[in-house]
Amino acid sequence: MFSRMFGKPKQETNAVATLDKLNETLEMLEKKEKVLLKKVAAEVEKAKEFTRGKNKRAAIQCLKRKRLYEQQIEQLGNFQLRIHDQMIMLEGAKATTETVDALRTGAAAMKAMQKATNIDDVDKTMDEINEQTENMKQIQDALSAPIGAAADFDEDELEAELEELEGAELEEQLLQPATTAPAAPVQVPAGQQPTRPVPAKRTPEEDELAALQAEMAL
Amino acid sequence: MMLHFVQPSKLKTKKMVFEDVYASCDSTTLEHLKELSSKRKAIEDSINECNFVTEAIAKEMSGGLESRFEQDIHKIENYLPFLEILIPYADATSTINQIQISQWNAALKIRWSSALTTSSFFKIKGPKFFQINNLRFELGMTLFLCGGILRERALEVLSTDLVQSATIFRQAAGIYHHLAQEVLPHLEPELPPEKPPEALAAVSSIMSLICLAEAQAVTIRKAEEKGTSSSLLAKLHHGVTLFLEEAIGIFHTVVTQCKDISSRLSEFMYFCKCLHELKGQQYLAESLKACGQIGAAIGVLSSVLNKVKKKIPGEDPWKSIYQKQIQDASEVLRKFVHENDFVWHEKIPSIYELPLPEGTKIVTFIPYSPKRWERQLSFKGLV
Repeated sequence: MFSRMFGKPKQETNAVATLDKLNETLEMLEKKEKVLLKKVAAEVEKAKEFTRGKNKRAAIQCLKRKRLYEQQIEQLGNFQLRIHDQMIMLEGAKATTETVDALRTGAAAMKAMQKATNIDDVDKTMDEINEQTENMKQIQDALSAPIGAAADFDEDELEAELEELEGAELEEQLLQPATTAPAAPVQVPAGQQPTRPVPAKRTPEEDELAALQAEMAL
Repeated sequence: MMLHFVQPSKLKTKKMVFEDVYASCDSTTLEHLKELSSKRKAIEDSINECNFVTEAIAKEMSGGLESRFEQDIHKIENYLPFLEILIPYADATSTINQIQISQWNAALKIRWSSALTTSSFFKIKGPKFFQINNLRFELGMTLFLCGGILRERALEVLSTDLVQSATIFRQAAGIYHHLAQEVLPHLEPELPPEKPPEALAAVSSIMSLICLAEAQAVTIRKAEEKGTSSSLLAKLHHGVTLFLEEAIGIFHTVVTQCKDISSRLSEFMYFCKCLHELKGQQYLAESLKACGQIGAAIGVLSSVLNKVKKKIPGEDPWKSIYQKQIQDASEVLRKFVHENDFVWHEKIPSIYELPLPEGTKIVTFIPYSPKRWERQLSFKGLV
């Protein structure tokens, strides 16, 4: 009776192949995240440059792009988390399968006993399983909840962030000495500087080639 | 990875008995001629596959050599010094001696088959034999055979000793170079219109380049084992294509003077060149990707795959080896394209903007020095 409720367990080879594909996609997501992080850093640098040039409008534009990239990074993080979640579930597929098999065996045994209290135990166990499944679904729903991304940026917030950047820049300048006297010129007699030839360095590829030729007795 | 072209080792010959033809003046000369005939018969039995000696006895006779190829090389190396002694007599200066030598050489009936002619691949009535009454023809064909068997020996030890394999290929290249530069140029003026391709100096030049390409291919295998950088591996593979392109260029001139030379030789060189070009560009692409130029990497791989797919070998084992390489490179290209679509979004440059391949040749032939016995021979009828 209970055997009808459970299909055949998923093929092991399919799970392994799927895990490989998930791993591949995970690597891609990580690479993309690195690229976006570089772009964020680049925009921050540009904003600093525009601030030094007193171009406030352009600096704010850079900060806007920075936030767009950060949003993308956050999204990629969620994607990675979902993939990790699925990988964990897939990796646990065998355990789940064995659990179901054990439950099927237990159910058959309990059925053979034909005792009312045992039937209640089975029902209780199934209720617990259903509860766990429900918990997992709630977690998935929470992860899948759309991010509350505001389409419009708060200009006041951006200006405040810009002032922070300006403040940091100003602090950095204040830490420098007040005046920097030019270094005294060093008198060097003309024509008396010894010229040392720079020793020629072999490239790593040339070293590899030489090692290969030696090993092959060429 | 390496295609196999066995034909240069498949020459056959007919029996020759020197002492029945050359008139000896003394017992030393007669003994020399008998020794010469005996050593040649050993070669005849081997290459004509008329040898009924068991493997154990063959090993014992050759002094413990296990390999059949090694045994054959041993026999040829024993024969050549005896034959070399006679070569100076082929360059007789006086007219009377020339007439006498010509008569003897005609009576010898120096006959060899060709493994590089079109007809030799159909084998309807057995191989066709070419008779050329010149001792240099005998020397040339024997050396050509020696080079061919050395190639087979090099392939035999490839899986166990890469250094020895490359060295043997280089030795074979040296023999073919010696043929092309020192032996066959003297023979070509004497060749009849109907001649085997093996008697042409240009064909030996081709074989020398093929052996160097194969030696470099073996060296690349060692480099790959060592984990050499992609950029250097790319240059080495393109170095192989440089050898083969040079050989193909010579082949185009040979075809004009020897029309029945087999296209099999040309196909072998072409498909080897394509394989190494594909492999070289694949390593170049991996090197470009590591430098952050995935667009160029995709362009390089796409371009070379389009090129090598235009023509595919018709038969196994060449066909399956070739298709396997294409499949591997296509998989790498698929991964690169997928990653570019997903992460980098780089533009793929046009074919004219792609970096050009750079080839490096690192193998050279080992020079061949002919050995000959220091022995004074004396013949009747020669002044």
